[in-house]
Amino acid sequence: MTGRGVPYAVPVGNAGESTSGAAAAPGRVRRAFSDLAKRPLRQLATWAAGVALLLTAPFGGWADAAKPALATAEAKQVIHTGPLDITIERISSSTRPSKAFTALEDGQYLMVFGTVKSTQPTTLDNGELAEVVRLVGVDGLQKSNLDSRPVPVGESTTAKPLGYYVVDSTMMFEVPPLMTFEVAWVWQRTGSVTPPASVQVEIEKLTFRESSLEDSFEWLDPAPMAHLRLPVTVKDPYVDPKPAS
Amino acid sequence: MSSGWRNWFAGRGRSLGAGALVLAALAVGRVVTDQLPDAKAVGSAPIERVAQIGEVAHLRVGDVKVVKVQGGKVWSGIVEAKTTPGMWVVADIEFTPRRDEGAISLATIRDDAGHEWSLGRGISTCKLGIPGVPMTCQVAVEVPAKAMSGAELVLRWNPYDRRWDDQAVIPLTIDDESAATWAKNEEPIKIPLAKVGR
Repeated sequence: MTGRGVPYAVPVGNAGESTSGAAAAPGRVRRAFSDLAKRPLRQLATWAAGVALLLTAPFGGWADAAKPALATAEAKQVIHTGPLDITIERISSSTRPSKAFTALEDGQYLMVFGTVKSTQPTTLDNGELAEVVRLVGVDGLQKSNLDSRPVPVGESTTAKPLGYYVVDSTMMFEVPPLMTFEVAWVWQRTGSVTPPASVQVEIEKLTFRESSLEDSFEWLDPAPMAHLRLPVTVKDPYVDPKPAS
Repeated sequence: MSSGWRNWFAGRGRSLGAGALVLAALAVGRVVTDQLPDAKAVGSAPIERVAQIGEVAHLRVGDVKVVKVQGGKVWSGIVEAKTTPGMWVVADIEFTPRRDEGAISLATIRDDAGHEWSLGRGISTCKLGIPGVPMTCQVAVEVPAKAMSGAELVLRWNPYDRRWDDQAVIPLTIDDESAATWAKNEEPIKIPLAKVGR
């Protein structure tokens, strides 16, 4: 037996065609590359992307993205949310904060007082004021002024406040440029809930990007950026003056 | 091995070349597009009709004339009064609608630095007019209490869509003197309902 008929046992030809031991490796590699070269470009690109994706696994590529830690803000500190520079100063609750409000029989208004100044050259009129402040872990908050259903305590950050200009107790939706306003973000709590001793306020940052629905750029994607906890002061309700007899 | 890759490239030279050309064309197209003005913005820009205080601006939705401009810290309507950390600029207007939907629903004040203050917490009573019947009405816009270079009042039918339609542009004088006077004026500026007819 010369071995020509037993290719797996006896090397034939040059060393590259050997199929056993260390000498066989270069041959296999060469054939593998040769096979790869015959593959369509699209398939090669797909394979390369898959291999790259797999290689990221040991380095945490498939792990959940870490949530950035929220900064702790101080009362009266200026916080840059993107379209608005705001401060948070105090929190109070009342069943009727002023003449402009309806008296509540069971529940109360929660009011976060602060200031707001636009960073933009034109009036902000897309609800940015109501988007930048939220309450954490408060039960019984109405979802919005258009939806009076209370939201679960774990979802209290979805409850949207109404903005008010404090000086005249009028509602405020738009924020014009180059002026600082004393404002209150106001939530309504329903049910026979007693006012909390303190509340955690969460500040949201907005991003300026093109809307996916309209051909326009807007401040969107509110995301938590800072928080602070403040005590709640309970205020006596406003009482209408008695008419002159 | 190297000859194999040469063969691989040799077999795909035409495809790779075409791909490179497409990428180059896209890059050149992007550069050219970035350098040209936005055709949509230019084509849909509003048509501005400049009129001085006391002059009539003929708009598609009607004839509008600003007859008086005043300022103060407070305006008082039939329901509520509003104050401001800046000052209110209030324009008295004569408006004759030409169409059923004729109204002045947009009132903004702009300066030559690119700032623009829209109605916001202000008001326009120039609505619900009757075609052909003149009405007297007011708009109030909130601005900072300081001099404003190149101030203009813009009046327009629709606040939601600023494309194509025309708008009145009324030059204003908001200098140090008028700003100081208006910012100290605590007397509420009355803004009643619009008066329809003479």
